[in-house]
Amino acid sequence: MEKTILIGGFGGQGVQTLGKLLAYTANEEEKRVTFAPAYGGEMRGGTSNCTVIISDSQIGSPTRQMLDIVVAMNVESFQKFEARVKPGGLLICNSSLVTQKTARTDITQLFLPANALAEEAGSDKTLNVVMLGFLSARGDLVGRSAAEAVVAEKLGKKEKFRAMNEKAFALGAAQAVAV
Amino acid sequence: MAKRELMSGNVAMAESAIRAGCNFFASYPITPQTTLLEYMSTRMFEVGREFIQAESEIGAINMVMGAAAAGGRAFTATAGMAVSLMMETLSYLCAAKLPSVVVNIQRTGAGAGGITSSQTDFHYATKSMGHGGLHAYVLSPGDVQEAADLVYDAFAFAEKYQCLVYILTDAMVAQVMEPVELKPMLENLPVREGSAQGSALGGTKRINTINRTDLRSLEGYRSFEAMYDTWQREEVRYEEYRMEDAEIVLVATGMSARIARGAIDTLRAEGVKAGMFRPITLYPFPTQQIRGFAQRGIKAVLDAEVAVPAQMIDDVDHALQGSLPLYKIDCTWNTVFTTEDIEKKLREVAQEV
Repeated sequence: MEKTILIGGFGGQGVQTLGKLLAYTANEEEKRVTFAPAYGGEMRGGTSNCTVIISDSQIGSPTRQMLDIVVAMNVESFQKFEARVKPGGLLICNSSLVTQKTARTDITQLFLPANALAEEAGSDKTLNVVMLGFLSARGDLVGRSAAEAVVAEKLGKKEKFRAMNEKAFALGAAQAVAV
Repeated sequence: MAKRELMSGNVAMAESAIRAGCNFFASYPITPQTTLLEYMSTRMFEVGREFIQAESEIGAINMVMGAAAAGGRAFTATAGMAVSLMMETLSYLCAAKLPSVVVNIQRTGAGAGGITSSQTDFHYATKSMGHGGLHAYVLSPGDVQEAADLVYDAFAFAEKYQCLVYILTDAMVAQVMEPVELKPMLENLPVREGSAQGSALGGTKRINTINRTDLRSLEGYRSFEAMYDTWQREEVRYEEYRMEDAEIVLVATGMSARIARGAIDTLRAEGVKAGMFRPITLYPFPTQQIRGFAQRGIKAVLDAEVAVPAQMIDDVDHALQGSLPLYKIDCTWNTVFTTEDIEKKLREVAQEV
Protein backbone atom coordinates (compact mmCIF):
# COMPACT_ATOMS: atom_id res chain seq x y z
CA MET A 1 0.00 0.00 0.00
CA GLU A 2 1.49 3.31 -1.12
CA LYS A 3 0.13 6.83 -0.73
CA THR A 4 1.51 9.78 -2.65
CA ILE A 5 0.81 13.37 -1.69
CA LEU A 6 1.95 16.68 -3.11
CA ILE A 7 1.60 19.92 -1.16
CA GLY A 8 1.91 23.18 -3.08
CA GLY A 9 1.85 26.81 -2.00
CA PHE A 10 4.03 29.87 -1.77
CA GLY A 11 7.10 30.34 0.40
CA GLY A 12 6.05 31.28 3.94
CA GLN A 13 2.93 29.10 4.06
CA GLY A 14 4.81 26.30 5.76
CA VAL A 15 4.50 23.90 2.86
CA GLN A 16 7.90 22.29 3.45
CA THR A 17 7.27 22.07 7.18
CA LEU A 18 3.91 20.40 6.60
CA GLY A 19 5.54 17.83 4.34
CA LYS A 20 8.26 17.14 6.91
CA LEU A 21 5.72 16.79 9.74
CA LEU A 22 3.84 14.22 7.68
CA ALA A 23 7.11 12.38 6.98
CA TYR A 24 8.19 12.46 10.63
CA THR A 25 4.79 11.05 11.60
CA ALA A 26 5.02 8.24 9.06
CA ASN A 27 8.51 7.41 10.36
CA GLU A 28 7.17 7.32 13.93
CA GLU A 29 4.62 4.81 12.69
CA GLU A 30 7.57 2.81 11.24
CA LYS A 31 6.38 3.11 7.69
CA ARG A 32 8.65 3.69 4.73
CA VAL A 33 8.58 7.34 3.74
CA THR A 34 10.27 9.86 1.46
CA PHE A 35 10.08 13.66 1.61
CA ALA A 36 11.20 15.47 -1.55
CA PRO A 37 11.36 19.29 -1.41
CA ALA A 38 11.15 21.66 -4.39
CA TYR A 39 11.34 25.40 -3.98
CA GLY A 40 12.67 28.54 -5.60
CA GLY A 41 15.38 30.87 -4.38
CA GLU A 42 13.01 33.03 -2.32
CA MET A 43 12.35 32.28 1.33
CA ARG A 44 9.00 34.05 1.17
CA GLY A 45 6.65 34.55 -1.74
CA GLY A 46 8.28 32.15 -4.19
CA THR A 47 6.72 28.91 -5.29
CA SER A 48 7.16 25.96 -3.01
CA ASN A 49 6.03 22.37 -3.13
CA CYS A 50 6.99 19.03 -1.73
CA THR A 51 6.12 15.39 -2.31
CA VAL A 52 5.65 12.87 0.48
CA ILE A 53 5.33 9.16 -0.23
CA ILE A 54 4.26 6.76 2.50
CA SER A 55 4.45 3.04 1.89
CA ASP A 56 4.72 -0.43 3.42
CA SER A 57 7.42 -1.45 0.94
CA GLN A 58 10.48 0.01 -0.79
CA ILE A 59 9.78 3.38 -2.39
CA GLY A 60 10.97 4.03 -5.94
CA SER A 61 11.02 7.60 -7.17
CA PRO A 62 10.42 10.18 -4.41
CA THR A 63 8.70 12.42 -6.97
CA ARG A 64 5.72 11.36 -9.08
CA GLN A 65 3.79 12.64 -12.04
CA MET A 66 0.41 11.48 -10.71
CA LEU A 67 -0.59 11.66 -7.05
CA ASP A 68 -3.25 10.25 -4.74
CA ILE A 69 -3.64 13.57 -2.93
CA VAL A 70 -2.80 17.13 -3.92
CA VAL A 71 -3.03 19.91 -1.35
CA ALA A 72 -3.32 23.35 -2.98
CA MET A 73 -2.52 26.04 -0.45
CA ASN A 74 -2.82 28.83 -3.05
CA VAL A 75 -4.38 29.50 -6.46
CA GLU A 76 -1.15 28.93 -8.40
CA SER A 77 -0.82 25.42 -6.94
CA PHE A 78 -4.44 24.65 -7.79
CA GLN A 79 -3.79 25.64 -11.41
CA LYS A 80 -0.44 23.89 -11.61
CA PHE A 81 -1.23 20.59 -9.89
CA GLU A 82 -4.97 19.96 -10.43
CA ALA A 83 -4.19 17.84 -13.50
CA ARG A 84 -1.77 15.69 -11.54
CA VAL A 85 -4.36 14.13 -9.22
CA LYS A 86 -4.90 10.47 -10.11
CA PRO A 87 -8.40 9.56 -11.26
CA GLY A 88 -10.28 8.75 -8.06
CA GLY A 89 -7.84 10.90 -6.10
CA LEU A 90 -8.30 13.85 -3.82
CA LEU A 91 -7.73 17.58 -4.36
CA ILE A 92 -7.72 19.49 -1.08
CA CYS A 93 -7.93 23.25 -1.45
CA ASN A 94 -7.22 25.96 1.08
CA SER A 95 -10.53 27.72 0.49
CA SER A 96 -9.32 30.86 2.23
CA LEU A 97 -7.41 31.48 -1.00
CA VAL A 98 -8.73 28.90 -3.50
CA THR A 99 -12.46 28.98 -4.18
CA GLN A 100 -12.49 27.74 -7.76
CA LYS A 101 -14.19 24.40 -8.41
CA THR A 102 -12.35 21.82 -10.45
CA ALA A 103 -13.71 20.98 -13.88
CA ARG A 104 -12.60 17.38 -13.40
CA THR A 105 -15.35 14.89 -12.61
CA ASP A 106 -13.05 11.95 -11.84
CA ILE A 107 -11.59 13.37 -8.62
CA THR A 108 -12.95 14.54 -5.28
CA GLN A 109 -12.38 18.15 -4.32
CA LEU A 110 -12.48 19.17 -0.67
CA PHE A 111 -12.31 22.68 0.73
CA LEU A 112 -10.71 23.65 4.03
CA PRO A 113 -10.54 27.32 5.07
CA ALA A 114 -7.02 26.89 6.43
CA ASN A 115 -6.11 30.56 6.86
CA ALA A 116 -9.42 31.38 8.55
CA LEU A 117 -9.08 28.45 10.96
CA ALA A 118 -5.43 29.35 11.60
CA GLU A 119 -6.46 32.87 12.56
CA GLU A 120 -9.08 31.41 14.86
CA ALA A 121 -6.33 29.38 16.48
CA GLY A 122 -4.38 32.56 17.13
CA SER A 123 -2.06 32.98 14.14
CA ASP A 124 -2.29 32.86 10.38
CA LYS A 125 1.06 31.05 10.47
CA THR A 126 -0.53 27.87 11.83
CA LEU A 127 -2.33 27.11 8.55
CA ASN A 128 -0.01 24.21 7.88
CA VAL A 129 -0.83 22.69 11.30
CA VAL A 130 -4.54 23.13 10.51
CA MET A 131 -3.94 21.18 7.31
CA LEU A 132 -1.98 18.48 9.12
CA GLY A 133 -4.86 18.07 11.60
CA PHE A 134 -7.24 17.72 8.68
CA LEU A 135 -5.06 15.23 6.77
CA SER A 136 -4.28 13.03 9.77
CA ALA A 137 -7.85 12.96 11.07
CA ARG A 138 -8.94 11.43 7.76
CA GLY A 139 -6.82 8.49 8.83
CA ASP A 140 -5.68 7.13 5.47
CA LEU A 141 -2.20 8.73 5.47
CA VAL A 142 -0.96 8.85 9.04
CA GLY A 143 -2.57 8.53 12.43
CA ARG A 144 -3.99 11.54 14.23
CA SER A 145 -2.40 10.93 17.61
CA ALA A 146 1.04 10.29 16.10
CA ALA A 147 0.77 13.51 14.08
CA GLU A 148 -0.28 15.45 17.18
CA ALA A 149 2.76 14.11 19.06
CA VAL A 150 5.09 15.12 16.22
CA VAL A 151 3.69 18.68 16.22
CA ALA A 152 4.33 18.92 19.96
CA GLU A 153 7.87 17.60 19.54
CA LYS A 154 9.00 19.44 16.41
CA LEU A 155 7.30 22.84 16.63
CA GLY A 156 7.42 25.68 19.19
CA LYS A 157 8.03 24.51 22.75
CA LYS A 158 6.80 27.70 24.46
CA GLU A 159 3.40 27.22 26.08
CA LYS A 160 1.89 30.01 23.97
CA PHE A 161 2.89 28.33 20.69
CA ARG A 162 2.15 24.84 21.91
CA ALA A 163 -1.43 25.84 22.79
CA MET A 164 -1.84 27.65 19.50
CA ASN A 165 -0.67 24.64 17.50
CA GLU A 166 -2.88 22.28 19.50
CA LYS A 167 -5.89 24.44 18.75
CA ALA A 168 -4.98 24.77 15.06
CA PHE A 169 -4.56 21.01 14.79
CA ALA A 170 -7.92 20.37 16.50
CA LEU A 171 -9.74 22.90 14.29
CA GLY A 172 -8.35 21.23 11.15
CA ALA A 173 -9.13 17.75 12.45
CA ALA A 174 -12.72 18.73 13.26
CA GLN A 175 -13.29 19.52 9.57
CA ALA A 176 -12.26 16.07 8.45
CA VAL A 177 -14.49 13.15 7.79
CA ALA A 178 -12.62 10.02 8.76
CA VAL A 179 -12.28 7.51 5.94
CA MET B 1 15.91 -3.15 14.23
CA ALA B 2 16.91 0.10 15.87
CA LYS B 3 14.54 2.97 15.28
CA ARG B 4 15.36 4.75 12.09
CA GLU B 5 15.76 8.51 12.02
CA LEU B 6 14.28 10.68 9.31
CA MET B 7 17.04 12.74 7.69
CA SER B 8 18.16 14.19 4.39
CA GLY B 9 21.00 12.68 2.38
CA ASN B 10 23.13 15.72 3.18
CA VAL B 11 22.72 15.29 6.94
CA ALA B 12 23.09 11.51 6.73
CA MET B 13 26.36 11.85 4.79
CA ALA B 14 27.68 14.49 7.21
CA GLU B 15 26.88 12.49 10.34
CA SER B 16 28.23 9.29 8.77
CA ALA B 17 31.53 11.03 7.99
CA ILE B 18 31.83 12.09 11.63
CA ARG B 19 31.00 8.60 12.87
CA ALA B 20 33.62 7.13 10.51
CA GLY B 21 36.29 9.31 12.10
CA CYS B 22 36.31 12.45 9.96
CA ASN B 23 38.19 15.01 12.05
CA PHE B 24 38.65 17.75 9.46
CA PHE B 25 36.00 19.33 7.25
CA ALA B 26 36.57 22.39 5.09
CA SER B 27 34.01 23.53 2.58
CA TYR B 28 32.26 26.44 0.90
CA PRO B 29 28.45 26.59 0.65
CA ILE B 30 26.66 25.94 -2.64
CA THR B 31 23.17 24.65 -3.48
CA PRO B 32 22.29 21.80 -2.99
CA GLN B 33 25.19 20.99 -0.66
CA THR B 34 24.62 23.82 1.83
CA THR B 35 22.68 21.83 4.42
CA LEU B 36 25.58 19.38 4.66
CA LEU B 37 27.94 22.23 5.51
CA GLU B 38 25.36 23.74 7.87
CA TYR B 39 25.09 20.47 9.79
CA MET B 40 28.86 20.11 10.02
CA SER B 41 29.24 23.70 11.24
CA THR B 42 27.64 22.84 14.57
CA ARG B 43 28.15 19.10 14.84
CA MET B 44 31.94 19.14 14.30
CA PHE B 45 32.32 21.51 17.26
CA GLU B 46 30.08 19.31 19.41
CA VAL B 47 32.44 16.39 18.86
CA GLY B 48 35.59 18.51 19.18
CA ARG B 49 36.79 18.33 15.58
CA GLU B 50 37.88 20.89 13.00
CA PHE B 51 35.36 22.72 10.85
CA ILE B 52 36.37 25.52 8.50
CA GLN B 53 34.10 27.44 6.17
CA ALA B 54 36.75 28.27 3.61
CA GLU B 55 37.01 31.46 1.53
CA SER B 56 36.40 29.43 -1.64
CA GLU B 57 36.35 25.87 -2.93
CA ILE B 58 40.00 26.26 -3.89
CA GLY B 59 40.78 27.10 -0.30
CA ALA B 60 38.62 24.25 1.00
CA ILE B 61 40.23 21.50 -1.05
CA ASN B 62 43.75 22.75 -0.31
CA MET B 63 42.94 22.70 3.39
CA VAL B 64 41.76 19.13 2.90
CA MET B 65 45.10 18.32 1.29
CA GLY B 66 47.01 19.88 4.16
CA ALA B 67 44.92 18.08 6.75
CA ALA B 68 45.28 14.74 4.94
CA ALA B 69 49.06 15.18 4.71
CA ALA B 70 49.15 15.85 8.44
CA GLY B 71 47.27 12.65 9.21
CA GLY B 72 43.76 14.05 9.37
CA ARG B 73 40.70 12.20 8.17
CA ALA B 74 39.71 14.94 5.77
CA PHE B 75 36.42 15.55 4.02
CA THR B 76 34.80 18.16 1.80
CA ALA B 77 31.57 18.48 -0.13
CA THR B 78 30.63 20.62 -3.07
CA ALA B 79 28.44 20.82 -6.18
CA GLY B 80 28.15 21.98 -9.74
CA MET B 81 30.76 24.33 -11.15
CA ALA B 82 32.59 24.47 -7.82
CA VAL B 83 34.03 21.01 -8.48
CA SER B 84 36.01 22.58 -11.30
CA LEU B 85 37.69 24.93 -8.84
CA MET B 86 38.95 21.90 -6.93
CA MET B 87 40.31 20.00 -9.90
CA GLU B 88 43.99 20.90 -9.66
CA THR B 89 44.15 19.79 -6.04
CA LEU B 90 42.09 16.66 -6.65
CA SER B 91 44.81 15.63 -9.09
CA TYR B 92 47.44 16.37 -6.43
CA LEU B 93 45.53 14.33 -3.84
CA CYS B 94 45.62 11.31 -6.16
CA ALA B 95 49.29 11.83 -7.07
CA ALA B 96 50.34 12.20 -3.45
CA LYS B 97 48.19 9.25 -2.32
CA LEU B 98 46.55 11.33 0.38
CA PRO B 99 43.46 9.61 1.78
CA SER B 100 40.50 11.97 1.56
CA VAL B 101 36.79 11.97 0.81
CA VAL B 102 34.93 14.32 -1.52
CA VAL B 103 31.18 14.56 -2.15
CA ASN B 104 29.94 16.10 -5.40
CA ILE B 105 26.20 16.74 -5.60
CA GLN B 106 25.80 17.18 -9.34
CA ARG B 107 24.00 20.16 -10.79
CA THR B 108 22.79 20.57 -14.32
CA GLY B 109 24.54 22.30 -17.15
CA ALA B 110 27.92 23.62 -18.17
CA GLY B 111 29.40 27.00 -17.28
CA ALA B 112 27.15 28.69 -14.73
CA GLY B 113 24.70 25.83 -15.25
CA GLY B 114 21.52 25.63 -13.19
CA ILE B 115 20.56 24.34 -9.76
CA THR B 116 18.47 21.36 -10.76
CA SER B 117 19.70 17.85 -10.17
CA SER B 118 21.61 16.02 -12.88
CA GLN B 119 24.13 13.32 -13.73
CA THR B 120 26.32 15.40 -16.03
CA ASP B 121 29.60 14.91 -14.13
CA PHE B 122 29.93 11.19 -14.88
CA HIS B 123 32.79 11.48 -17.35
CA TYR B 124 34.36 14.29 -15.35
CA ALA B 125 34.50 12.10 -12.23
CA THR B 126 35.46 8.80 -13.80
CA LYS B 127 37.86 9.41 -16.67
CA SER B 128 40.68 11.33 -14.98
CA MET B 129 40.77 13.16 -11.67
CA GLY B 130 41.98 16.46 -13.11
CA HIS B 131 45.16 16.49 -15.18
CA GLY B 132 47.50 13.50 -15.25
CA GLY B 133 45.15 10.56 -15.72
CA LEU B 134 44.86 9.23 -12.16
CA HIS B 135 41.61 8.11 -10.64
CA ALA B 136 39.50 8.39 -7.54
CA TYR B 137 37.35 5.51 -6.34
CA VAL B 138 33.97 6.87 -7.48
CA LEU B 139 30.71 5.82 -5.83
CA SER B 140 27.08 6.58 -6.67
CA PRO B 141 24.54 6.10 -3.85
CA GLY B 142 20.99 5.07 -4.74
CA ASP B 143 19.17 6.46 -1.71
CA VAL B 144 19.77 8.18 1.62
CA GLN B 145 20.61 4.97 3.49
CA GLU B 146 23.18 3.96 0.92
CA ALA B 147 24.65 7.48 0.86
CA ALA B 148 25.18 7.22 4.62
CA ASP B 149 26.76 3.77 4.34
CA LEU B 150 29.04 4.66 1.42
CA VAL B 151 30.38 7.80 3.10
CA TYR B 152 30.96 5.81 6.30
CA ASP B 153 32.94 3.14 4.45
CA ALA B 154 34.76 5.72 2.30
CA PHE B 155 37.18 6.73 5.06
CA ALA B 156 38.48 3.22 5.67
CA PHE B 157 38.72 2.61 1.92
CA ALA B 158 40.69 5.83 1.42
CA GLU B 159 43.16 4.73 4.09
CA LYS B 160 43.41 1.17 2.84
CA TYR B 161 44.41 2.26 -0.66
CA GLN B 162 45.75 5.73 0.20
CA CYS B 163 43.43 7.24 -2.33
CA LEU B 164 40.72 9.75 -2.94
CA VAL B 165 37.15 8.49 -2.56
CA TYR B 166 34.69 10.53 -4.57
CA ILE B 167 30.95 10.29 -3.89
CA LEU B 168 29.10 11.37 -7.04
CA THR B 169 25.49 12.01 -6.14
CA ASP B 170 22.51 14.27 -6.87
CA ALA B 171 19.80 16.26 -5.12
CA MET B 172 17.42 13.31 -5.18
CA VAL B 173 19.74 11.78 -2.58
CA ALA B 174 21.10 14.94 -0.94
CA GLN B 175 17.85 16.80 -0.32
CA VAL B 176 15.32 13.99 -0.02
CA MET B 177 14.57 12.89 3.55
CA GLU B 178 14.16 9.21 4.40
CA PRO B 179 14.40 6.99 7.48
CA VAL B 180 18.03 6.00 8.02
CA GLU B 181 19.88 3.72 10.38
CA LEU B 182 23.36 5.08 10.99
CA LYS B 183 26.44 3.04 11.80
CA PRO B 184 28.14 3.47 15.19
CA MET B 185 30.61 6.20 16.12
CA LEU B 186 34.20 4.97 15.75
CA GLU B 187 36.37 6.01 18.67
CA ASN B 188 40.13 6.12 19.30
CA LEU B 189 41.21 5.66 15.71
CA PRO B 190 44.98 5.24 15.38
CA VAL B 191 47.29 7.88 13.91
CA ARG B 192 47.49 7.19 10.22
CA GLU B 193 50.66 5.62 8.96
CA GLY B 194 52.73 7.63 6.52
CA SER B 195 51.23 10.91 7.57
CA ALA B 196 53.48 13.84 8.40
CA GLN B 197 52.76 13.47 12.10
CA GLY B 198 52.81 9.69 12.04
CA SER B 199 55.34 7.30 13.45
CA ALA B 200 56.39 5.68 10.17
CA LEU B 201 59.33 8.04 9.81
CA GLY B 202 60.32 8.17 13.45
CA GLY B 203 57.89 10.75 14.68
CA THR B 204 59.79 13.97 14.00
CA LYS B 205 60.70 13.88 10.33
CA ARG B 206 58.29 15.61 7.99
CA ILE B 207 57.70 14.25 4.53
CA ASN B 208 56.88 16.23 1.43
CA THR B 209 53.64 14.66 0.31
CA ILE B 210 52.91 16.77 -2.75
CA ASN B 211 55.85 15.55 -4.80
CA ARG B 212 56.30 11.98 -3.68
CA THR B 213 59.55 11.02 -5.35
CA ASP B 214 58.71 7.33 -5.04
CA LEU B 215 55.73 7.82 -7.33
CA ARG B 216 57.25 10.18 -9.86
CA SER B 217 58.50 7.45 -12.17
CA LEU B 218 57.27 4.82 -14.61
CA GLU B 219 57.21 2.33 -11.73
CA GLY B 220 55.17 4.78 -9.68
CA TYR B 221 52.54 5.07 -12.38
CA ARG B 222 52.59 1.30 -12.90
CA SER B 223 51.73 0.99 -9.22
CA PHE B 224 48.69 3.22 -9.74
CA GLU B 225 47.71 1.07 -12.71
CA ALA B 226 48.04 -2.05 -10.56
CA MET B 227 45.87 -0.48 -7.87
CA TYR B 228 43.12 0.29 -10.39
CA ASP B 229 43.35 -3.31 -11.68
CA THR B 230 42.86 -4.51 -8.11
CA TRP B 231 39.81 -2.29 -7.75
CA GLN B 232 38.40 -3.68 -11.00
CA ARG B 233 38.83 -7.24 -9.67
CA GLU B 234 37.91 -6.80 -6.01
CA GLU B 235 36.14 -3.54 -5.34
CA VAL B 236 33.40 -3.28 -7.97
CA ARG B 237 29.97 -2.77 -6.43
CA TYR B 238 26.56 -2.89 -8.04
CA GLU B 239 22.93 -3.84 -7.39
CA GLU B 240 20.82 -6.16 -9.48
CA TYR B 241 17.07 -5.59 -9.25
CA ARG B 242 14.71 -8.28 -10.62
CA MET B 243 17.49 -9.51 -12.91
CA GLU B 244 17.09 -13.28 -12.33
CA ASP B 245 15.32 -14.07 -15.60
CA ALA B 246 15.39 -10.59 -17.13
CA GLU B 247 15.41 -10.14 -20.91
CA ILE B 248 15.49 -6.36 -20.96
CA VAL B 249 17.90 -4.72 -18.56
CA LEU B 250 17.92 -1.07 -17.70
CA VAL B 251 21.29 0.32 -16.59
CA ALA B 252 21.06 3.39 -14.41
CA THR B 253 22.59 4.97 -11.31
CA GLY B 254 21.56 7.44 -8.63
CA MET B 255 18.41 9.45 -9.39
CA SER B 256 17.80 7.68 -12.72
CA ALA B 257 17.81 4.27 -11.03
CA ARG B 258 15.46 5.58 -8.38
CA ILE B 259 13.01 6.92 -10.96
CA ALA B 260 13.30 3.70 -12.99
CA ARG B 261 12.68 1.24 -10.14
CA GLY B 262 8.91 1.67 -10.27
CA ALA B 263 8.97 1.24 -14.06
CA ILE B 264 10.60 -2.18 -13.69
CA ASP B 265 7.78 -3.22 -11.34
CA THR B 266 5.13 -1.95 -13.75
CA LEU B 267 6.66 -3.77 -16.74
CA ARG B 268 6.94 -6.98 -14.70
CA ALA B 269 3.25 -6.66 -13.83
CA GLU B 270 2.57 -6.39 -17.59
CA GLY B 271 4.48 -9.61 -18.17
CA VAL B 272 7.66 -8.10 -19.59
CA LYS B 273 10.81 -9.61 -18.12
CA ALA B 274 12.48 -6.35 -17.17
CA GLY B 275 15.26 -5.84 -14.66
CA MET B 276 17.66 -3.16 -13.53
CA PHE B 277 21.42 -3.16 -13.13
CA ARG B 278 22.65 -0.30 -10.96
CA PRO B 279 26.40 0.41 -10.89
CA ILE B 280 27.36 1.62 -7.40
CA THR B 281 31.04 2.04 -8.25
CA LEU B 282 31.31 4.27 -11.31
CA TYR B 283 35.10 3.93 -11.23
CA PRO B 284 35.87 1.05 -11.35
CA PHE B 285 32.87 0.56 -13.64
CA PRO B 286 31.23 -2.92 -13.54
CA THR B 287 32.49 -3.65 -17.04
CA GLN B 288 32.85 -7.43 -16.67
CA GLN B 289 29.39 -7.79 -15.13
CA ILE B 290 27.74 -5.95 -18.03
CA ARG B 291 29.92 -7.84 -20.55
CA GLY B 292 28.36 -11.04 -19.19
CA PHE B 293 24.77 -9.95 -19.94
CA ALA B 294 24.56 -11.76 -23.30
CA GLN B 295 25.45 -15.08 -21.62
CA ARG B 296 22.57 -14.65 -19.19
CA GLY B 297 19.78 -14.62 -21.75
CA ILE B 298 19.45 -10.85 -21.72
CA LYS B 299 18.27 -9.56 -25.09
CA ALA B 300 18.53 -5.77 -24.89
CA VAL B 301 19.97 -3.04 -22.69
CA LEU B 302 18.49 0.39 -21.97
CA ASP B 303 20.76 3.11 -20.62
CA ALA B 304 18.94 5.81 -18.58
CA GLU B 305 20.65 8.97 -17.39
CA VAL B 306 20.04 12.64 -16.69
CA ALA B 307 22.70 13.91 -19.10
CA VAL B 308 22.56 15.15 -22.69
CA PRO B 309 24.63 14.06 -24.47
CA ALA B 310 24.50 10.83 -22.48
CA GLN B 311 27.79 9.88 -20.84
CA MET B 312 27.60 6.58 -18.96
CA ILE B 313 26.30 4.98 -22.13
CA ASP B 314 29.89 5.10 -23.44
CA ASP B 315 31.02 2.80 -20.61
CA VAL B 316 28.01 0.53 -21.09
CA ASP B 317 28.74 0.38 -24.83
CA HIS B 318 32.40 -0.42 -24.13
CA ALA B 319 31.33 -3.20 -21.76
CA LEU B 320 28.84 -4.74 -24.21
CA GLN B 321 31.23 -4.65 -27.18
CA GLY B 322 28.26 -4.85 -29.52
CA SER B 323 27.01 -8.09 -28.00
CA LEU B 324 23.50 -6.71 -27.37
CA PRO B 325 21.34 -3.91 -28.79
CA LEU B 326 21.76 -0.78 -26.66
CA TYR B 327 19.03 1.83 -26.31
CA LYS B 328 18.97 5.04 -24.31
CA ILE B 329 16.59 7.41 -22.57
CA ASP B 330 18.09 10.69 -21.47
CA CYS B 331 17.16 14.21 -20.44
CA THR B 332 18.76 17.26 -18.92
CA TRP B 333 18.41 20.82 -17.63
CA ASN B 334 15.00 21.35 -16.00
CA THR B 335 13.48 18.31 -17.67
CA VAL B 336 13.78 15.05 -15.78
CA PHE B 337 12.14 11.90 -17.13
CA THR B 338 9.37 10.37 -15.05
CA THR B 339 8.78 6.75 -14.12
CA GLU B 340 6.03 6.75 -16.78
CA ASP B 341 8.50 7.98 -19.45
CA ILE B 342 10.79 5.06 -18.63
CA GLU B 343 7.88 2.61 -18.69
CA LYS B 344 6.99 3.84 -22.18
CA LYS B 345 10.58 3.45 -23.39
CA LEU B 346 10.83 -0.04 -21.91
CA ARG B 347 7.64 -1.04 -23.75
CA GLU B 348 9.13 0.25 -27.00
CA VAL B 349 12.30 -1.75 -26.44
CA ALA B 350 10.21 -4.84 -25.58
CA GLN B 351 8.38 -4.46 -28.91
CA GLU B 352 11.64 -4.43 -30.82
CA VAL B 353 13.40 -7.44 -29.32
